[in-house]
Amino acid sequence: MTESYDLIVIGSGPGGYRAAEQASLTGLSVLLVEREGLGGVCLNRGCIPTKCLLNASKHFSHGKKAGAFGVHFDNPRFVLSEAMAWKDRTVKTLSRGVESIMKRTGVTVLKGEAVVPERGFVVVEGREYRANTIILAGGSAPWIPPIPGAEAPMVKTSREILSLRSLPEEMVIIGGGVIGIEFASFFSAVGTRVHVVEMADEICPMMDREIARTLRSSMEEVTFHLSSKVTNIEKGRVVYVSDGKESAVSADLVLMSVGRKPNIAGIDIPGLDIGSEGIRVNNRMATNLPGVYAIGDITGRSLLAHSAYRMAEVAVSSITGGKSIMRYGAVPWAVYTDPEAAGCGMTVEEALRQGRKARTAKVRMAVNGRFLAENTPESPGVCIIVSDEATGVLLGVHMLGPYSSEIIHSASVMIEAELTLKEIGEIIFPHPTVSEVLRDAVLEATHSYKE
Amino acid sequence: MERVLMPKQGNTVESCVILEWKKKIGDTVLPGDVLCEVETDKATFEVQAEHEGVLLTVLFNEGDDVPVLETIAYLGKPGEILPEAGARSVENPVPAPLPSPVIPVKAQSFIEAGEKARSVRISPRAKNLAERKGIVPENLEGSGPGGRILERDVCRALQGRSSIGTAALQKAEEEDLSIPAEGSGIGGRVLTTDFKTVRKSGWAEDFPGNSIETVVKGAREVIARRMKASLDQTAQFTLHAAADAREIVEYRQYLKTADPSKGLSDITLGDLVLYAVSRVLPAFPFMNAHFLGEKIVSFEHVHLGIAVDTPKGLLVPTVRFADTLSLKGISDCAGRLAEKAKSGKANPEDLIGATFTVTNLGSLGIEGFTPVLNTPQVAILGVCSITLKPIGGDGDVTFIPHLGLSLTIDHQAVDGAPAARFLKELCDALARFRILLAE
Ligand SMILES: Cc1cc2nc3c(=O)[nH]c(=O)nc-3n(C[C@H](O)[C@H](O)[C@H](O)COP(=O)(O)OP(=O)(O)OC[C@H]3O[C@@H](n4cnc5c(N)ncnc54)[C@H](O)[C@@H]3O)c2cc1C
Repeated sequence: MTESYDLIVIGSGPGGYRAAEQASLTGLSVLLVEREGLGGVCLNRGCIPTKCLLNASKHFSHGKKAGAFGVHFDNPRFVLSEAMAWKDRTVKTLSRGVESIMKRTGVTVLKGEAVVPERGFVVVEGREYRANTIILAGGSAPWIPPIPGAEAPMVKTSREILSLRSLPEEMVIIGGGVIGIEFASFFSAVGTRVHVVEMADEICPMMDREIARTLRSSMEEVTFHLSSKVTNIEKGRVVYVSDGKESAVSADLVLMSVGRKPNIAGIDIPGLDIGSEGIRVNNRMATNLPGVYAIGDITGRSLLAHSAYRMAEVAVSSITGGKSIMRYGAVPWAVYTDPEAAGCGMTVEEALRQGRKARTAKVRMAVNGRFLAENTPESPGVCIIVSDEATGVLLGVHMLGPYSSEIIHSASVMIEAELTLKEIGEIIFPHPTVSEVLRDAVLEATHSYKE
Repeated sequence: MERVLMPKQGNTVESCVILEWKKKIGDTVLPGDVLCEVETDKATFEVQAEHEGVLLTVLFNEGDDVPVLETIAYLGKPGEILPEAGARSVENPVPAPLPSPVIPVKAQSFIEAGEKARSVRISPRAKNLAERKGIVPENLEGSGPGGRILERDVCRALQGRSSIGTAALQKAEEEDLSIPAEGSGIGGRVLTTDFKTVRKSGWAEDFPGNSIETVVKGAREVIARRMKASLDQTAQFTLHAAADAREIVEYRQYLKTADPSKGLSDITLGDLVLYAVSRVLPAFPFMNAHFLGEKIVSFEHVHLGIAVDTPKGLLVPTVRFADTLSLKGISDCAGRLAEKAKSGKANPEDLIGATFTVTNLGSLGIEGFTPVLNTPQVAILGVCSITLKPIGGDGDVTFIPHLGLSLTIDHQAVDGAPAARFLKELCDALARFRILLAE
């Protein structure tokens, strides 16, 4: 017998569970299918566990540096197993939270691997389910490039590395994107010698170039090999080519973090438009086929949990006759290194490429009261803003320094609302907070316009 | 018994829409009491009672568009008998306004003040506001009689509309762009980027290189609509002829050398054609006419529309009573109107009321074209350049300057042969211009 629902959601990551919750609240009958833990990558092996570990390593290194503020810890120790236990506890708590949301909103949750042979039709472990509408929210998985030796046991992805039992002495991280850099920050803080090998000439491509450079140089314990391409992974070492020259670094652990690929295995709907980056959707999250929507990492666009949340809301809006559209222009991002970095909107390069008359203004955090109260003056910290000279509109905000991840959403508001620098100048920021650097940068830009 | 008239509101307002009757039939009214609220395209105002009495009857409903000075209601003693009960009498106490056509109809021009909405029923004032604020009337629900959209409906839509930031607003104002009803920003907020057309990237791919997009609005929008409507709704065809131009060229030369104090040196060849048209047309009333579907109205006097190329696009001001003006009179009037139109100072009144139109591309070397009718006029004359034409006599060929004339007519109203007769008469008049002047 086939069971029928109004909507079947495949995958319970932030995209999937939010979509299921929202759709159920509008009165649809919803089936949510998940083959692993509720909460998807984000909750089980992405955002949340990494933040648990990064918080631990931050405490550890702050403890070591606290002498400057008159606090002395004798012999601080980092115990990996305890940090991992803390992480597991947190994940469990949150996963139970998702479970109870599903229960409360009346979503039917089904454990198992979903196969979609055609529109409106889903098979899970031999049983058939039908629905008018399907939302594909299967997320993404680490991509392993075809490098000789990439299958060796010493090579891990972000997934396996989160259940590591002992700290390596020396490790190589292949790929200097956000995931690689966060792990570099963690491992270097807890005593591992870390090498990052990156093919591009700078880490973190979405970042403002100056911020990326400053972040990189602030990570003093990490050795960066830029413009370097890994050619071979051998026992105990990683071989790379830079400028035509071959070099090697030794490692007892390798983290492969060069990118992610969409989880499209089993999605066999005839005619579905799937590109190399993922399932193609329009700004209403509709695929090229009626009744088939895709959200989150599986679309290959904006691989962030909060983008997946919003895509979920847009998809449910589309399904229920609403008019919401997905906008990518003001999606903030944050990197939880120490110090953290965050940004929203355009970099100056992007703005110029769009043919805008873009301007930047920069303020160092060393002029900020709270920053100086809590950090030594040589600590890195900067805020760069990009604005459009023609309209006075704020186009982008890029920050490096403490609390950046918690400050950046105000930039999202400003950019979403297309506020002008003049208008932002009227907003009152709390004092003393690091967020004041954003206001200072706006004032700086306003003054430079007057000149 | 006293008549209540739709008051006259300035010179340009021809009619007003009754928004709401404030008194019911049978109500007692005192002088100064508001009888009803009416609306022009510029303002809303009240019609007040000037006499004491009982409202005996109202002749128009809410939402009706009523010509000014028309009777809209009667006040009197209770039980008084009405003149023609309930009739919508057209009792116009003032003499018919200028120009005085054979039958009073509203003349039109390519561009007319207070364009009427096409399909949606909307009051002029509501339409004005909607246009200014970027509200699409088609999406509104009218609260007026018969679903007519009134100003208050637009106001309501404005309250509910998505917001717009100062930057976007400023851009709209600076670049004179109309504001989309809904934008792509948060909650439909209108952003600076929403003024671009969606297809931008597509253009770039299809047609490499820069491109500029111009929103079709204002004069261009009106011209576009009018021209398309003209071709859609008429049966146009064009006759070409050439007039011996020796006399007009010579006469024009002669005027140039005349005593400057007489002010005749500004008279152009085009003015000579206007003059000839104004004299020949009265003999062909079917050419000096409007085709209105169920009737054709021909006019006693010639009110000549003259097509003027202005920076904002084609404008057609009217030389009124051209048939009664001297050559210099026509030339002066046409010159003045063209100047006003070019500098953007044409009054709405200048742009209406033509019975026949002349358009001149001769100075640009055009030898023949197919002018598009200025509906509901039934004919438009295109003036072309002067070219040499070989004219043969006894094996002898001489080259004589000829002025090309292209006459488009609406075959719904005029047949080919009568139109050709008019054109021939016009060519003859131009060829014997000195005689025409003497007549
Ligand atoms: C190490 C790491 C750190 C990260 N840190 C951050 C961060 O700090 N902030 C941030 O915003 N983002 C972060 N991300 C990215 C974030 O995790 C993803 O963008 C987000 O999880 C995408 O959500 P999703 O709903 O698209 O899918 P996912 O979270 O990937 O969930 C998809 C789920 O679908 C299931 N599934 C797939 N196919 C099937 C099938 N056929 N049948 C049944 N179930 C299926 C999967 O098992 C999975 O549980 C991080 C990612 C990683 C790897």
